[in-house]
Formats: sequence, C-alpha cells, structure tokens
Amino acid sequence: MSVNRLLYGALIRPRPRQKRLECAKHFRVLAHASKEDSASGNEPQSYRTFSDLFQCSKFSSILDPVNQNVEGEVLAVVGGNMYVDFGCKFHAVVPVPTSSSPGGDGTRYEEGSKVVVRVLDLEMTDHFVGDHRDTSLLEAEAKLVVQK
Amino acid sequence: MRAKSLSTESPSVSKPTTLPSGGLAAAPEAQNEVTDRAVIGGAVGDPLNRDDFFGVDSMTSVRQLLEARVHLGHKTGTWDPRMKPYLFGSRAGVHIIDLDKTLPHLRRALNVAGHVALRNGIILFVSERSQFERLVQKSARDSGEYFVTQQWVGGTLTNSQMLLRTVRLPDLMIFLSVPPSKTAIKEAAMCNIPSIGVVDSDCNPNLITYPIPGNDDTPAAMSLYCSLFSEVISRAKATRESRERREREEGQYKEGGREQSEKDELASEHSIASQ
Repeated sequence: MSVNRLLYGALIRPRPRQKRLECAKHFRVLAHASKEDSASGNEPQSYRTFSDLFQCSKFSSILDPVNQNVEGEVLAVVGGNMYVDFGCKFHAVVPVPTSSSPGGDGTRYEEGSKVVVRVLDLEMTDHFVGDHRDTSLLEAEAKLVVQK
Repeated sequence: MRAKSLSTESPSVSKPTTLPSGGLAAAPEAQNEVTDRAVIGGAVGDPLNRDDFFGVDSMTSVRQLLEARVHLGHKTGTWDPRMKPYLFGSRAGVHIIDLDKTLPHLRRALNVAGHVALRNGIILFVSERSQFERLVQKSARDSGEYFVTQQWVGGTLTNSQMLLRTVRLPDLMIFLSVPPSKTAIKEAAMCNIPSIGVVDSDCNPNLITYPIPGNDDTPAAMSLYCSLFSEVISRAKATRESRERREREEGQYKEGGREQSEKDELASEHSIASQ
C-alpha cells in the first residue's frame, strides 16, 4: 500500500549535491552543475519563482489527492471524532474507531498521532439552488485507513 | 535586527530631512528651532523614505509562504471572480493563489503595520474564526495591541460613542480572516480606517486598503501571518523606544548647555532635580 506524504516537506528535495555532481560527471556537464550549485547556497537557481517551486511541490506531483491514501496527523480528539490534518487546506473529521467497528484494535488516538486516511474530498462544497456560488463546510472529507 | 542598526547611523551620512507631521522625533523644544529639527531629522532619518525600514524583505520569502500552505485556495466553485488577478490557476478542483503576487502585497502590508506602530498608532486585530481565537489573541498581546476575536458587534466603530464611550478609534485594522458578514470591513471603510486583510479565493478584496491574497483557513498559514505582524510591530516599538530614549538624553544634554550659558536657570534646576 502506497502512502503519500503531503504533510511533511511541501517541496520535493533536490537530489543531494554529491549525487548530482557524480551524475554530472557522468554526463560531462560538470560546468553546468557547478554553476547551478553556486547560485544560492544549496538551492538551484530555478527554485526562485512560485511556478518553479509549485512544480516541485508534493501537492502538484500527486496531481489529485482524491481517492489516495495520505499520511496525516491528529490535531485534536473531540467527542469520538478526531481532526486529521493531512497537508492540504482543510482538516478532515474522522470518527475514532470503537472496539466493535472494524479497525477498533485498541489503538489509542491522541493529539499528534500519525494516521493514514483516504481522501474523499478536499473541501466539502455543494451548490444550492438560487445561490450564485457554492457553499463550503470548510472541512475535508476522509476515511481512516486501517493499517494491517 | 536591521531596525536597530539603522538607528545608530551617523548624521553625516544621511541628508537632513524635514520631519513628517506628528513625527515622533519632533520634541516640543525642537519645534521652533529649524536647525535642531534638521539635525534631528538627519540623525534619525525619515523612516518613510526607506523602502525596507523594518527588515521585512528578509522576514518573508515565497518558499516560506508555500511551506505554510498560503497558496491553497478554496474549491473553484466557491470563488469570488474579483480575486482573479491574484490566482495562479486551479489544480485538483482547487484554486491556487499566485505567491509571486502575494509576497509584495504581504511586504507592503507589513511595512504599513510597522510604520503605524512606529507613529504610536493603535492597531486592532480582527478575526471572527473561533479556531484561531487563541492564536490571534496571543499575537495581539505579544505585540501590545488590541484584538476582536468574537463576532463583530455592528456599530462598534460607527457608533463607538454610544457603545464604547470613546471617540478614539484604531488607526489600523488587520483582518486575519475576512468574515463573511463583512460588517467590520464596511465600518472600517466608513470610518476611514486603513485595513489590512488576508483574502482567500472566496473573498471580496474591494473594500480592503491593503489586501493580502492568501489562505485563511489553515493553522500553519494563520500562525505565519500572526507571527509576522507581531514581529514587525514589536520591531517598530523597539525602534520607537530607543529613539525616545535617545531624544531624552539629547534633551538633557541641551539643558546642560543652557545651564552653562545661564539662560534658563529654572530648566537647569529642574534637570538637576530630576537627576
């Protein structure tokens, strides 16, 4: 089962310097690589504008997080529900599995626990007749994925 | 701290400038003396003539904004078309805010907040979202300013004489999340109070003086805005305090000079007594 990590490291890290240099040597483009390295510390020059950074971001590389398993962190547990932050705009409210429900294996969920959720909707919105735009619940929808 | 290093500059470097009206450097004794004014103005330098007086540029970057998820907007169906100039596009049914446009707006807003704080202005933090209540209250308290984190009572500004028994209104309002009711924004506009507001892709930026296009729903983004505003206001206040201290010292020095020339004995007695 593949789990995406949207939560930590919004950016995909560039390859380590050592590896890049090796690679560059291999393809005989060392001059180009060293020029790129010296631009600004460890960051290549192409990382400056928003469009470049966004292309390197995890959110952009996943294309669509809906129906994917992502890692999340429990922000709070309130009255049998836990608020899970999985790295997008909104948190999702997921019921804490009880002992009778599937996945109720006695795992304790508390603030800061890592969970895996399947994203169903990034923001619960719908259109109401007569309204000129959609109404939002300001909440994402997700389902807890039980780890085997 | 760049603001501190700026204030220790020698008078010979910067050109003498006239002080802005209500400028803090204009001490009552110096107001009638043109030469003194020029010297003080030259020594301090007019902060408004500097592009980045509070070191705001080094506090913010596109990367930092992206990591705080400032670029994530609402779903495309909920947008306000008036936000179109600030949007980068849409991805996975969600609008993406162009952080290249957010950054200059954010820096400008931070500069405005800093200069208002430097001139002893009252700053009011407004956020009607209950999940950010503590965060907003903490950042307002840290910077020694005021906050409204409950639902805005209509007429707080326009009918302040009756509701609050005061005529002193805030000099700047920071809307950390633009409320759907917009009552507070309308009142700020009616009372001619400049406003800073974080506008998401579903907000109307029209009535806000200094809009900042950005995400206003994620805790990471909100804590970033709060810490930035809190920091810039604290820097401005530190600059003001050091400037006032220096002015007091200069005033004492001047009174010492008068004592020598025996022009104003009362003042010298006062300065000795106060020492």
